[in-house]
Amino acid sequence: MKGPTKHHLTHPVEDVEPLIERLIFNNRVVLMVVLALVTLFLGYQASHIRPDASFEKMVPTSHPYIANFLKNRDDLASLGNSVRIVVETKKGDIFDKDFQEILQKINDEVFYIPGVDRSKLESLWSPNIRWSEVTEEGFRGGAVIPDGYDGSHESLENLRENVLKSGQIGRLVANNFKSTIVLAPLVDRDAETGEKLDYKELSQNLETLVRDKYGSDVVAIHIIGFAKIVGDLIHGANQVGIFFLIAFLTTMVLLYLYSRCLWSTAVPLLCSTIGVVWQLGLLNVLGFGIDPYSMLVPFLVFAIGVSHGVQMINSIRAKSLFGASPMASARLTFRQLYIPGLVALVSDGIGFLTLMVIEIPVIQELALTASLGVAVLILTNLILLPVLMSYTGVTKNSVQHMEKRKDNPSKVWEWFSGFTDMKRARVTLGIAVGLFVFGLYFGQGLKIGDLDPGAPELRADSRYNRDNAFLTANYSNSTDVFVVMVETPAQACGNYEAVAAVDRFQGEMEPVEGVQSVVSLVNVAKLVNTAMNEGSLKWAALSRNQFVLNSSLSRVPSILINTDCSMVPVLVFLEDHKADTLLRVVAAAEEFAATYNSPDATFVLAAGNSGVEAATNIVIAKAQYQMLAWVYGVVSLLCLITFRSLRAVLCIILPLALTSVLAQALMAAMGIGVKVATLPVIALGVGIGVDYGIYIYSRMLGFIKDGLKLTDAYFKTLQSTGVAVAFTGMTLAIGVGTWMFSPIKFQADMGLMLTFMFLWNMLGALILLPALARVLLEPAKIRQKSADELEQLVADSRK
Amino acid sequence: MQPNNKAITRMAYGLVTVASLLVAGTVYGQSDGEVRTDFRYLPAVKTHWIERALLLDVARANGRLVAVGERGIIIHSDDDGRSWVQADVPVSVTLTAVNFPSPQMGWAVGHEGTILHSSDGGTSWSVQFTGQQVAEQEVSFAEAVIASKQEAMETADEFELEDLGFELEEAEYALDDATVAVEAGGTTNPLLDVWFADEKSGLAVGAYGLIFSTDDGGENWKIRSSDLDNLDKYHYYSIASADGQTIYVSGEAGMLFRSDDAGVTWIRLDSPYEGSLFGIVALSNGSAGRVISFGLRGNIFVSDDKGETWERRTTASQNTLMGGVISPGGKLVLVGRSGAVLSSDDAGETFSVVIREDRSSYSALIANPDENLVLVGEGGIHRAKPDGSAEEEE
Repeated sequence: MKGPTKHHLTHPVEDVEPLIERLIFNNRVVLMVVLALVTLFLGYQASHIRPDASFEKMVPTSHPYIANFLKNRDDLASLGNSVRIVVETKKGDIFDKDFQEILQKINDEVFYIPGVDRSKLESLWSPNIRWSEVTEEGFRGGAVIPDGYDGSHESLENLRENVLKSGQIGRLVANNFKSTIVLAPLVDRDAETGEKLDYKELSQNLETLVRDKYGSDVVAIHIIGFAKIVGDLIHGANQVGIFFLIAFLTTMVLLYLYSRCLWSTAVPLLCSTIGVVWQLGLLNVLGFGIDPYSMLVPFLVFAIGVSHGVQMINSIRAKSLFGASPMASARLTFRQLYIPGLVALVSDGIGFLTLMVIEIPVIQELALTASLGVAVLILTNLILLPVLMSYTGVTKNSVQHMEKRKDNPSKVWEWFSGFTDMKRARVTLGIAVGLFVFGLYFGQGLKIGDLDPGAPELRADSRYNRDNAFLTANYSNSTDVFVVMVETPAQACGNYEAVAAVDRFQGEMEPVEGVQSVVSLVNVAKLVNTAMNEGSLKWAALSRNQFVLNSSLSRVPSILINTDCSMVPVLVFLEDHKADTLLRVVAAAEEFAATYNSPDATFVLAAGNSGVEAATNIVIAKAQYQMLAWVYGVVSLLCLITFRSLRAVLCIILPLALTSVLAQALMAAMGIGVKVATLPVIALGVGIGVDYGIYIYSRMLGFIKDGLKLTDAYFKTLQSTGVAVAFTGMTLAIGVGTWMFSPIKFQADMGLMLTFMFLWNMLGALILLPALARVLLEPAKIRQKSADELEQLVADSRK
Repeated sequence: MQPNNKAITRMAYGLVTVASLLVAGTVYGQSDGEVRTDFRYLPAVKTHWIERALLLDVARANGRLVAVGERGIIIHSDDDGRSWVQADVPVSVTLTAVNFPSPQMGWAVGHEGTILHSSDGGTSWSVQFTGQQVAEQEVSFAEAVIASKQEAMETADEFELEDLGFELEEAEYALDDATVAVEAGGTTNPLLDVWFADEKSGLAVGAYGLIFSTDDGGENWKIRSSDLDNLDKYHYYSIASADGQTIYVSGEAGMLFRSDDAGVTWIRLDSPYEGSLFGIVALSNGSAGRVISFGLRGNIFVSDDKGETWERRTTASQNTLMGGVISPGGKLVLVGRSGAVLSSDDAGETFSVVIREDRSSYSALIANPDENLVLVGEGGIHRAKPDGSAEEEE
């Protein structure tokens, strides 16, 4: 890089002052007006940003599994989207007059909730739930609620009998008869208004009209379903605003304690906030919304903004200490920091952009918005901030505070500068290697995907997941469903060849570890064949006689067969959605498909929440190392271009690599899997961590070129940039650390990981970087090279 | 359904069966070079989730229990049903019944007219008789019937001629059915029970009047359709014999048969009932031993005169009964749908009813020397106390 400081001061400023600096500082008013107008416009845009949590964005749409799923999506629609309201009695069983009265009321209440597909609502009180039995005369059946039900003992006993004959035990009625389900399938769009289902409103309705209204000390309500998860996510996301406020206030207090200057506190906060406003405004302009993942970006932008702001403030104060005017301090600071600042921000941005290799739209969007946010900071924090400070300057108070510190340098920095001592450097590097090995070893336990039961988006102890656990414990079908689609020629899905293949498939899937049960039209066909033969279990088989088979398939519900009979879904219910379980299921299904696929029946993976998750895991597992390679490659290249030294690259990158490795070990230890939410964190951590290294290294290099020994150079770096680095590390950690309290599990995971990475990156830059510099750098050579370059430069400028 | 209607329905079934099998036949005969997997004759899938598989029958081979069920599953236990091992089975058709006349020699029957044989106490199994052979014998049988009817018609009077004409027509339909079945890879009908008097003589019965016997340990199975009076081709469901000499068969529509000469000749018994009798059990106290038959909707009938007359026994349960056994201690236990276990200490005079909590449907059971029960059915193996109630957790 071009040599800064002293040397330039001896020449007329204009000579070497970059054009851009003149452009900015000679047109301060115009610049500020333009930026203010842009801020107004983008602020207006930002206020119109919509929450956006579409399903397609969270899945790897390019993966063949997802493509297969989306192709068959309309036929599978009725499979998934429903809400199950479990009504539990806390005394006795459900065959109780009072309980049935409440159940009936809930049934009626749910019936009228907007978004519920009324014709398909199922409960003991809905007319479509029937019992049947075989008698000498043939089939006999009716609604489970007996005719003339009056709540008497006799009619309740009647009800019990009917329930037993209805085949609903384990499905609508708990295996222990202590709870029963009101199953409400949802419509995607309102038939009358054509409006899309409002998950937030639906979720609220379920809370107020069902849970709050009927939950009591004798009746407990549990609500499960995708719609409820989305509702809870939206509800949880609202708290993010509070986290931002907390992060803002803490940063403010810390900034003030650090600078003891109102301006030094207000200006970086203002500029960073403007950066956030711009980022959000641009999202809206570009047609993006904000989803639970990209909500992280404003925090990052703010924190990165503050981090750069502090570097600026720190430098401006240092200049003021030597008596420079606010204007001169600001200009000198700009001159000194805009290159490392730009490099740092550009590496951040490009680091984020490497996330684009992961073919999951939500991550790609995150990459884009984060890069955008960082790009915005170049304007707001590298340009606007020094411009503003050139008016305000820093307060006397602040300068005095710094002077006191300077006369009395902290013992801490002296101690830190000791890492450039050869002996300590070697010990440090030894420990670092040890940690590296430790991290690599424990990082092997890192798992792909979600590891906890229930809805992984929410915390394990959240109400939703407790409700879900209740459902799983008391009913036969879990909420983790892996769907394999069996494609056949049109109108041929009931052919014996196809159905026999499905039967065999079920037989092979059932023994797979982690599979709870497998359901398809085969189950129905066998059930009907049994019923046709007076209930004899020995007939629970498929008939190769197509006529018999057709009649046994005539009662298959529409969800298990598509409209033109060219596809039948096979529902594989899983015990959990751990990556290993999904891998086993995928492997077994793929093997079957490879062995038995024929024109009669082609087995195609995969739909259902677990199918989607399996595909996501596969994409993520593949993208994981690809992404790391990209982010490290790009950041290394940028450092190489900036410092033109491989040793410099090593000094800056190796501490980051240690953090990445340790972060993986931490994830393994904490049971956090690599998933859509945590994969970007690694890239973000590297992208941001590189800032510290770049600032410290460039400053130190400057001092070395000025003739200082490594230890002295580093000590001086610490006093200026080092303080800022330590401070920003802390600020950033606090900014994202608040996320750990999010009710949304993946946000909490992201918060934890980022906090860890920011702190370790900071320590790495302060400890490992100087130790590496001691071992790798040759100050004398650098000085010689720098002097040669300078000579050349001066010669050029004299021409 | 009235029997008359049923007969008509059956005829319709038969016609359409012919049509559909013809179609199927052409599909199999296609020359597109596509080799289709015959899922019937793939080896049974090995599963460690025995408790989840549908099991349909259980038999004792000396100290060993052998159970059979869906998708060709055969499992055996040497510790009275506590732990089970799955046997190698060459087919994947659903197996409906199993019988071991001696510790080593056993037979299992199932869908698609399949008969399997084991000569090592149930550890390994081989195919002894297939649906293809069933269909082939049905063809020869129908041809023989047609020949005999045609011969009879030559000398018959006008009155007889009408009847013979109908019978000939029936036989021709049967021939068509069987011919198509031969072309389409065998009968589609299941065998539903198997019983051996000893290692040589045995009987296998099934749907639509299937009945085959052997007297050489299953090397040759012979069609016996003409020996039982079952013109409507109702299903035979169950075989019972206490002494190997007197044999009972129960079936659909209240059918009951007895053979007094180890299966050579058969008498159709007067039925007390028009519903299906899924099971029959013969008590072994002498030649006048009591016979108990049971079936649809909890109907139980007992006879003390070798099935000549029957008396109904009522219980507190109306659940369909599907399997029964006499315990070593002489207790009669019946099992059926929706968790029903009926036990009787007085040879079927009175029953105590236990409805098990899992409410599974059971197809068969066996009693251990300690009188505890092993039930099989939906959800696989269920161990129970002598009265059918759940065993305490060990």
